Amino acid sequence: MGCLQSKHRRKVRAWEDPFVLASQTAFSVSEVEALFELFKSISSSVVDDGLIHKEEFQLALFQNRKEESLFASRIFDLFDAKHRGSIDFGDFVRSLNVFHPNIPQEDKIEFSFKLYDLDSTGFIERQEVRRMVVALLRESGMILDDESIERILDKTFSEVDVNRDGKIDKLEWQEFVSKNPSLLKIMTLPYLRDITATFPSFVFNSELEEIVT
Amino acid sequence: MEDAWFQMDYVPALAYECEEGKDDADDVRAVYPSEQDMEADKQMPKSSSFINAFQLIAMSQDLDLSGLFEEKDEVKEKVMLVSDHAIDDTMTKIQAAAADANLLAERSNNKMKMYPSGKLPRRSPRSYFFNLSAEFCKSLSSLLKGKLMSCVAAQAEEC
Repeated sequence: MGCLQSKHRRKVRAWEDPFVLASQTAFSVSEVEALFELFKSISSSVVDDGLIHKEEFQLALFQNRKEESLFASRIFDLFDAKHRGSIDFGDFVRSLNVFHPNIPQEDKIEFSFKLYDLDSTGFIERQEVRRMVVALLRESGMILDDESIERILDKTFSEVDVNRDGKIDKLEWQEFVSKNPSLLKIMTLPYLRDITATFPSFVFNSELEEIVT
Repeated sequence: MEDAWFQMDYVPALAYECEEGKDDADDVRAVYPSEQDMEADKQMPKSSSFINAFQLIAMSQDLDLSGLFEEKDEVKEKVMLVSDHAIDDTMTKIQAAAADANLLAERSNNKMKMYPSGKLPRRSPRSYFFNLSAEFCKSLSSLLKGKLMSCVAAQAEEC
């Protein structure tokens, strides 16, 4: 197909073909192409190798913040679906897809569960929730003493951990999120619905143009 | 003041020591609430019901991926400069600083709109903007230098 022949003449791998990606996701072909422009910009910021590395991901999210973020790190790990330490274009599109407004809640619930299951044990444990709360407090500059943090954890677990086994399993998470849908707001990026309109300044090569020239 | 007229019905003010167990830090914070306390107050009602941890976590800006998409409108960290000069004077200086940083400045009443004068580089347009704004900030602050009162910035280095 060769429709993504950029100036760098990067070979398009089968699993990154925009038509294939469009068929697997909520994005249209031209939206996938627009995402490719974004991907190129992010993936070339530190090392120009067609892959997004953690520092490039961090840079794209936070511009100039130096310290690593627990949450950004976790999202990076989830985007890196093949566990290779970097995100290729296919990973990028398929992961962003979960944030699309048209994607079903179940997919978002599943992603958020994996997100919070920091050590990927299949459960969200109390120490993981504590780590995330502490990270949030540090990020926002809020100060809470340890006792208050523990009380927040107590309340949280009494609400979510229905079977009282000290950890949150997927079913408990699903039930809890269904009752508190606002928790999933982080799982939707509204403008993904119309990327090409949102980023008109991205100049992208469409297949039509290629044929003409 | 010693006149009997002033003394009538005069009851001296009494000071109460009603908070026990509060240390100095609390008193200071009560008088000068920090931004953190205000945030905490907004988000943590001081009742016995505590917020759910996941509601707290969901407030994280770090979980907001819109940063990946933001270009010109990224204003996560604002830079504020205060000028002691008159408005017209300040506006002129802003225009001069903009010219220095290769930005076009358009004035409408007391607002100023700015955009790059050249074409956007295809690669990493975001860092280009970042550099432009850094240059502009530097230029402007040196123009205002004599009477610059304060420079509040999240990116202090740029000022």
